[in-house]
Amino acid sequence: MALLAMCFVGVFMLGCVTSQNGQPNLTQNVTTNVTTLNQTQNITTNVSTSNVTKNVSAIISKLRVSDFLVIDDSMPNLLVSSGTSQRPQ
Amino acid sequence: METRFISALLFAALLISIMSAQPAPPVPGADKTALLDSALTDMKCKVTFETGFMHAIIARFPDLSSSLSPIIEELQLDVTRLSQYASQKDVLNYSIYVQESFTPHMMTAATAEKSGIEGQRDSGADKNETKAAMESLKSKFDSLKDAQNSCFDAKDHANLVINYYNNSLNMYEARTKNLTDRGFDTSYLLTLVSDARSQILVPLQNGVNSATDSTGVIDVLGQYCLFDGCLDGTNFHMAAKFETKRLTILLEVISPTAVEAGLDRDTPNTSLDHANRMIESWGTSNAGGDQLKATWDNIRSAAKDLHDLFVALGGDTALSD
Repeated sequence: MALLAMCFVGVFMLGCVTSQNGQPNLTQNVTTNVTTLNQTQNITTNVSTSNVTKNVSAIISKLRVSDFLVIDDSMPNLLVSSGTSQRPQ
Repeated sequence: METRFISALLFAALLISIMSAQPAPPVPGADKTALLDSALTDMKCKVTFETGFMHAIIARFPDLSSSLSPIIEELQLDVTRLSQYASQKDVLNYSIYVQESFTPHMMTAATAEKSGIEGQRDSGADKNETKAAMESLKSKFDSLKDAQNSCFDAKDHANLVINYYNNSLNMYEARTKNLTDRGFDTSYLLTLVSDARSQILVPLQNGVNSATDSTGVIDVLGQYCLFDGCLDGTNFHMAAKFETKRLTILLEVISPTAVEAGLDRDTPNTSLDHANRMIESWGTSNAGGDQLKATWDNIRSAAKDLHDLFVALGGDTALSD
């Protein structure tokens, strides 16, 4: 029983020492920084996407599907202007 | 009663929507048929004259059959081929065939008739017989020429051409206005239409009005071409120029957003660049059939790529061409 109590106290002490060394806090700080970086990236990405979306909407509203249809109404000269025979002399 | 009232409302709404819809720009497609038919008539009249005259020469001088008969057959084959193109409304191939095959065949016929007749005159045969044969040929020539002149009305054809050009330019103007109304910079297109009127349509109208005979009318028609086909005249290449510039305007509008969205805008740009360089190289000269086909391939390819960009940016996909 006494041995079990000593073991319990030992584990408690070790936990306090570990806590005082600051290791867990360091881990926490790193995690927080990574999160902050990700958040910054997300904010930047969201702002760009928002601009593109606005531009795309403006372009799409300006265009019609019929704009991409090609119309070739070419009507070349179809008559022959040379090569007719001469009257015999 | 309620159903009737709703039906009446729906019908009224339909009528209002039909009446308020923007009128479609005039498409001169219908006039193409009239022009093709008229050109076909002219071609057949010319072949009737030439083959009739060659038959008359062979009748007087049977020795010339070996040189003239193959030309007669060739011209009759031309009638068949051109009739096929006309019935298919294939203006481009009709025009190419006239320029590259029919015109040279007609020139060959004229040269062969002339050299054949001169050869008979210098052959040393009985002078009286030769003289009588020549008089007979002159008479035949005149009667065939009269028949040809009444067979085809060049002035009517010229009016069809002028109407077609006018309708076509009105259509380009309407399409340009449509783009202007939506905020596109259309200054180049407006100048293009204006130049086409002043450099082609106006001088053509003036020339036709002052022509005194059908030869004069046909000569003027060969001087001012809104599109192509004036072998020794001014060719404006209107359709190819307009479509290339119009698509370039669309590309300029789409490009920044397409690049921003990581899409490829270089492919349509390259196609339009090729088309533009080809058109510039023609100047006012007549463009050959292969060059025209290659240019339109580039224009259509650019239009398809631009539509793909439009769809990739979320535009409507329903392109039916």
